[in-house]
Amino acid sequence: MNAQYDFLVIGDDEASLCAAAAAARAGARAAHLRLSQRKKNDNTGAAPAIPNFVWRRLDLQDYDLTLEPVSARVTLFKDADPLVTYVNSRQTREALAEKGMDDHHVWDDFVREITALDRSSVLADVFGRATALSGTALAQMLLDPEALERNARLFGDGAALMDDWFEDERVRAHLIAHALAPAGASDRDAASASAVAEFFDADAWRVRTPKDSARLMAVLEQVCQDAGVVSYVGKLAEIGADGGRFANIVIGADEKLKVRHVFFATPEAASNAGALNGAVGAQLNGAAHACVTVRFKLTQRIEPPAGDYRSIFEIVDDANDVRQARDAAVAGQLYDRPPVEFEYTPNGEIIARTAYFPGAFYEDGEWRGWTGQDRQAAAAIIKNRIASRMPDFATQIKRAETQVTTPNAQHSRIDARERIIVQQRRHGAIGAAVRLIDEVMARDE
Amino acid sequence: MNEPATEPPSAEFGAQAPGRIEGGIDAIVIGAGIDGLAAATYLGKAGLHTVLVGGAGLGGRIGEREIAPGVLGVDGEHLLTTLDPEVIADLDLYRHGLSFAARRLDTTYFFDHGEALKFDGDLAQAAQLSLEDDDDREALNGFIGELLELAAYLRPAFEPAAFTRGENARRGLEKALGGAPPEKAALIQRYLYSSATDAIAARIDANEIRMSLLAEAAFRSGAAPHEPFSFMTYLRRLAGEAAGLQGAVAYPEGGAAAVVAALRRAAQAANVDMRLQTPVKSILVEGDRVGGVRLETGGQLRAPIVIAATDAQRVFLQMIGPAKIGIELQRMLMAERPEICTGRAQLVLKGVPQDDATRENMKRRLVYAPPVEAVTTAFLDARAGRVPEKMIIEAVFPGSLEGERPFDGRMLMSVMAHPLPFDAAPGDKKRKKIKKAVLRNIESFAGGLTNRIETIDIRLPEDEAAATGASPSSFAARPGIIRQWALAAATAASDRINGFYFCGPEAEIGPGISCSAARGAARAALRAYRKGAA
Amino acid sequence: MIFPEEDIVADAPRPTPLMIAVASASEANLWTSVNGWTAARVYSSVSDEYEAAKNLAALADLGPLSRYAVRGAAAPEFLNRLTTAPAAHLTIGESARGLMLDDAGLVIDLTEVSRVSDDLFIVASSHPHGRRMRLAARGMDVEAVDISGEVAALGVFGPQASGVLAAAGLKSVSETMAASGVLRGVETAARPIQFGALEGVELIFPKEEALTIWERIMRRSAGAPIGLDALEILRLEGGAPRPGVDFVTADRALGGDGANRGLTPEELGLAHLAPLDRGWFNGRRALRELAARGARRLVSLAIDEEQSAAGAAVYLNEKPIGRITSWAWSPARKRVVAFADLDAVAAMDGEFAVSAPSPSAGRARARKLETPESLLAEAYAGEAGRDRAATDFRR
Repeated sequence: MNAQYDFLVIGDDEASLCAAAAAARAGARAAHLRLSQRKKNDNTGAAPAIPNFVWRRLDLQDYDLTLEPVSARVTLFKDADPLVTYVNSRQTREALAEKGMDDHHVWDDFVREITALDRSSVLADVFGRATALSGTALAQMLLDPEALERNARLFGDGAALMDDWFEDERVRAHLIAHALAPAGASDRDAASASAVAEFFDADAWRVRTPKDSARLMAVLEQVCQDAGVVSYVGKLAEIGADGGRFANIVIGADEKLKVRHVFFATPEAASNAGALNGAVGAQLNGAAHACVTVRFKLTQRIEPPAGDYRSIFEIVDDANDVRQARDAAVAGQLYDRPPVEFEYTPNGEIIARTAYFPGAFYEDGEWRGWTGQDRQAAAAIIKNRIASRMPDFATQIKRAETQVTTPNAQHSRIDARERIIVQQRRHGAIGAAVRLIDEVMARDE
Repeated sequence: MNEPATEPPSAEFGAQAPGRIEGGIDAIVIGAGIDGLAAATYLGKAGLHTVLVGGAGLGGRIGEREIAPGVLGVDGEHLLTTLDPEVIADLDLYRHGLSFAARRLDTTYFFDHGEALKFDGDLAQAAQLSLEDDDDREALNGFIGELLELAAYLRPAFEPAAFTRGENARRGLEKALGGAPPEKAALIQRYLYSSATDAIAARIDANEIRMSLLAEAAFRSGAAPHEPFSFMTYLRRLAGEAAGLQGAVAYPEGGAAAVVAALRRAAQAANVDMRLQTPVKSILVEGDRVGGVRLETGGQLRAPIVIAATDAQRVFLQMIGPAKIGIELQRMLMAERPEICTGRAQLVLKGVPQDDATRENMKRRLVYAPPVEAVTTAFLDARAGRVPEKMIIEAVFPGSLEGERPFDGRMLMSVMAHPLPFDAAPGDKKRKKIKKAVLRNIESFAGGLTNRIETIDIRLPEDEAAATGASPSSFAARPGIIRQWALAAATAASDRINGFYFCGPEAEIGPGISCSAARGAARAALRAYRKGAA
Repeated sequence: MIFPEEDIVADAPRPTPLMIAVASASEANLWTSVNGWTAARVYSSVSDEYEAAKNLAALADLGPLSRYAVRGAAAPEFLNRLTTAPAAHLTIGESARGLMLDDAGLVIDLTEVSRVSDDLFIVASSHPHGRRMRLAARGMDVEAVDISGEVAALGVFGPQASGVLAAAGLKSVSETMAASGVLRGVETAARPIQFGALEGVELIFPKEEALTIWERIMRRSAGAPIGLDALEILRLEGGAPRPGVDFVTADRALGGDGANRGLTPEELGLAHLAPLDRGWFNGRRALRELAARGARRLVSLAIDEEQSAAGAAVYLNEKPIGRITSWAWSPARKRVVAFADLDAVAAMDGEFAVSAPSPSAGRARARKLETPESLLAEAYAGEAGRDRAATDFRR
């Protein structure tokens, strides 16, 4: 008989491991599927924030992790001073006031309203949850102009949201860059406003662990193992219907499982498994992009141009740049000035990433995958972007390791859509994934 | 039947003496387009002394025009996809001369490399589909069947009347959607978020069917097909079909102008007092009530009911003014910055092709469906203000649809091209580029046809605005479904001015001629009138 | 001029322009945060401050409230839209209370509008509304500038308030105590304000002069600073609901139905601040449709007890009908004065029972409290009832 599970969590990221461990600790039969073999020094980049409640739930204090919160969000512009905002709203306000930006008056209001909007939207509510919207609830939303207006605002584009609030181009570009970069989205995309709202979710800032993701991954794998999560590694070949409450899963050539829920902790995980389309693409900002991460080992530390070593930096010329980069990625083209995000590791390395590269290239009417040349070109673009803001950078590079994560173009065979759950948030994905697991378990009871 | 709709008898022009205040009117309808005509006819039929005022000719953007010497074309729309059947029945449009030359038009989809796919008759029974592979046909049938079922639940949500204050259709919406079983509701929810590209790719493997469905889903939509919320546009198109209505894609005898002609006769029969060339300057709001309208000439018309059937930006931001409307409504209207539009081209072709295959095709609706990625790129280009390389083309031959009616051996071909960049004032250079691109795309599925062109007439939102006096943006492609719903609900609330109702393009869901908003507005107005008079 | 709720997560709050001066007057050193600004809860003792306000003059730092200068030809029209206060009818030196409503007719905030000159108005509100000001000003010849951190604002309440004004060097020009003048070369304005229904005056001056003017007043007048805790008693006695405490403001509400969505002026007991027979204001027409809603009602209660608790249940004939939202011991009435959020129908009654803070103590008797605010509301309800019948539209 095939092994049976309540949850099969699929994905190579931290959120997936946290979700699997949380499910197992809550008493569910949980399995985790890694899509690719983890290398010893996997440099998936910077570690995401872990909300306090997940920390408590998984008893992470028992493991060898140290805390390091993000100090600031910094945007390095082309021809203007860097702009810095903080998790603390007052600090941000003062920083804006100091720069003579009138927008400091509305900052508090903005943060309050955008988070309230995120929580009050009927659609957002359903979107981040396991519960389905009933026909009656949908009808009520349609007949309530205020609810519709809120939903239209939240699921509208980021540019319109910025128009309502901010006058200064730099403030707009800063928010757009930091909020949308993880999704590789632009402020003109439908629903990009919701990504800005997620960005202010407290969970996205709360607790950060060592910036070295490889370290965190190793710890979380240990947490999973301790919690009794069964691990699989391989390609997801099929999600088949069994006519009942289970889905038949085929991993690789012949590994077969029966699971009640196929769970993806992030939209990227679903996309990487080739299952997003099967889930009827309920994704907000598209995942047709590749994420390129480059870890730069330097001969000596380089001072950040603003903020400090614990900040997250975004390199962007202006909002228009973000749009062009996004358009190029969707069209399957390489763009040479994409927004680039980078962070420092504790030992002074720089981890830079951008999601504004195409998932596949479209050339002469044909799609083709990434080649070694493309990887080199992408790494060079990222290097040049950082060098354009930190002149010393290029000469100090000792070694650069590049990693490209692309969506799986080969879709898995899927016959049991209703058994698939995709967590949609990108900011604060770990917290959202664990909450979603809780909800599914509560619903099952 | 085919008398030109743009030339009404001179009695319909009412000269208004400056400064004069005219009373004794029950209702005023602003805008002489089809929505205004429909709304006014509803009121006139109910016995109200109704005055229809408008700055432009009858029919608004839909009117007959000489494209080339001796060749009459119809501006605005070339097919009906969403005409509200209740309006046809309520206003006796058949009795007033409306008749259909073709209903449920068969479609041929053309792809690059000269391939084509024929889609005959009823969508739900796509059995005659020219598909060789049984699996593909089964997948398509399953998918369309599922969508039609969902569209039936959703149909009231696409009816603008449902958003009108106090309208019964509200209850219809609650009943229909509330009656959807949980698993259907869950599917509706998924498709609500879904992008057109993903929704289609999830169910259809055959590339040609994918391209065909995507062309339908993305056609005339302002939302790019790779973005969330874009698939609903397709469900909206299917909703008419799902309700078992005939003529979901139909061609009326005389083209879209025939709808105007029928409405005009209905309006005349209902004793609607039509005053064209009488532009309205402002709408009088007195306290919480509408008082009438002030005309550009300085005179005033006073009435307890005013229905506005022209674009919302003009109506709310100019005619009523920001000081008297809700702050959020103003924000929503000002936030609408359309980026995409549909281009309309009418081509006069020399000589009628004699081969049977071509003549057969000319009786169908022809759609050029570019590759999926080309459609995506086209939307990105259009949004960035560039003229796309490839675009979706819908073409019909009105002469053939009405039964071999060439003009002195010439043929008229009517084309809609989508997406194009929206520009309030495109300028000659851009127009030339658009023309070239449209021709190139026509040529890519109808090779050699461009050699036969005698005249080509391109019409963009700028031209429709000039013809009607409305803002160019009101002729742009509509945004994603959630914003459309929000706009429809917000404008239908008409900011709660008693006696005032709105049924302009923002009140509608989706493109095309529907008149559903006019029905909702007129019925709500009548109810309020009767309640007030009782 | 009502202080909104204290901030739950208080990042180190900003000092108000007046704070440097005021801090030295604080013996209790008990501070809190409102709208991100520092506010004193107590200076000396709650009872002393309360007595000073009743018999002498109390000085409140109104810096934590939001203040906007509105200029331009369309300023009256803009304000008539933004708030329910009759801005266009104000003469120079006059102030009026009003509400800010959203498009759906639900209360966003309490405001006070003053006319400083022909085309200059000052608007104060409990919460900041920068975005709303910006949006509402689109398409109108008007400019709204946030002056919250730029000027010092000192509220003066009590029988000897005019003495404080004189001490500051301002002669009041009218009964309303409105004044403007130049004090040591600095422009200073006084405007009448109301703290709930309690009359007072607000002195506004450039922040650079905060210390000198404060010292002058302290030296030459009988005024004493008053903190939030004593103000809270005055507010409850006055019958003014507090945004964020007694009700959820519509712009911060979580959506959904009923009280979660926000309340109407009528439900707040403030219908008289949004009269339907006055000109247009944002949300008015929606309000007319909502007028019949009245599902909840905020009511002032006097409870025969020494203390109560926010969230304590209120009963009518043994049936729970709502909860206490805020309370304070009233030295004047020798009982607890409170606000309760009640079922509107049940609230028509006059006597209720309130569960006591400790379960063993049983229930306390509570009566509806007549406050200056509730009297205004009653007077308006009587008038409006007659008017409504007379002006109902019939064609």
